[in-house]
Amino acid sequence: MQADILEAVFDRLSTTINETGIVDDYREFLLSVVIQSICGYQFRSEDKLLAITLPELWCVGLGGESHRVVGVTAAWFLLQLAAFLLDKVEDDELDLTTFATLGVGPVSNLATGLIFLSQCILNRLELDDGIDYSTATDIRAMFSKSILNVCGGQHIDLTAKNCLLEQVWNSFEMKSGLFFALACFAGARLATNDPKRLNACLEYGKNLGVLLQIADEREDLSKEAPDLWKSSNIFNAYYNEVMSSGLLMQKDHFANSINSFRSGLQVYLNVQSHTLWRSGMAAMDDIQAELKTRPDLVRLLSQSV
Amino acid sequence: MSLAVLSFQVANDESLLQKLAENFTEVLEQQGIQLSSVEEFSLRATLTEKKTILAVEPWTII
Repeated sequence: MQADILEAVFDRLSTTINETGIVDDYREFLLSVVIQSICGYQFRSEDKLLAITLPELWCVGLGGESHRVVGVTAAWFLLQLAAFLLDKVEDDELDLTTFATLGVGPVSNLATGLIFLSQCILNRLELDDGIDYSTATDIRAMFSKSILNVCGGQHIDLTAKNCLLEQVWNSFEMKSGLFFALACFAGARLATNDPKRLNACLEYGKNLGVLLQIADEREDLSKEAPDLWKSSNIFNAYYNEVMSSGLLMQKDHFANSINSFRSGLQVYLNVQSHTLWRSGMAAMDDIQAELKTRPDLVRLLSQSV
Repeated sequence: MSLAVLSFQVANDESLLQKLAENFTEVLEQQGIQLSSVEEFSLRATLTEKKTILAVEPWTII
């Protein structure tokens, strides 16, 4: 399933790029980035189920036809890529990527192009995927609404100072949870219009998205890089909450060092990961019908804990 | 006390770990910590995964 959807997405993207009539240099640039990204996905897919399969898993799981998911999957993939690039620019981390030599300007322009390419694909869902107008309209509306909220979450992440933990969790839900919920909804909506089932799939996706965000945070904490830990909002929010509790004044035997906060945050995130995993599992139970792809959806959730 | 602060204690205070292993529910009550059943399960799972107190209390993880 995974290899097939990657190939179908690649075909849709290259066809769409070639049909846009844009200037050759930029067209080739977009194509090369898409090829590079799909290859990167294929490389990673050897031992992991990838999030790009989410629309298909939810569509097929709820009884829909897999051949209709190509457009929504391609559109979501492009937005994921654009979000990755913009995130690196906004966080001043472009140097850590393979796009470092391009510079901020061309990468920002690339991301903008990917967003509008995604829009081109969404505008043709009826034509290219045989999706009825009402369903396609719902999906397009959800893309716009979700991505605007993702931008809202990123705004909090970029601008907030001295966040509370609750605010950090809200930003995680918005910038990551809603993005993965969108992938689930886009596939599920192709199979059903039942609000209960759609809400369940949104809940699953939201929990998966936050789990993946936590996995990133945990990966950073696993590195011996205190400056990296201190640069994250969740570390600072966690530090502030522990300090404001008065615990350290009462218990002076605790090692009052950054490493003790790292260890505490690791335990805290581990607990939260389990909670999110269970909530994601519960969301699937709420479907109250056979979910044909449940084993793969469980696998996606479990490999993120 | 919040889950965040409890996590800090769990990570840095071995005596608390020992107490949790011996009587999980009572220790939480003493600390004034109210967790939902899901959070409680998650905390048990985390502690078990860490294997810090597994030898004392082999909790069953479903």
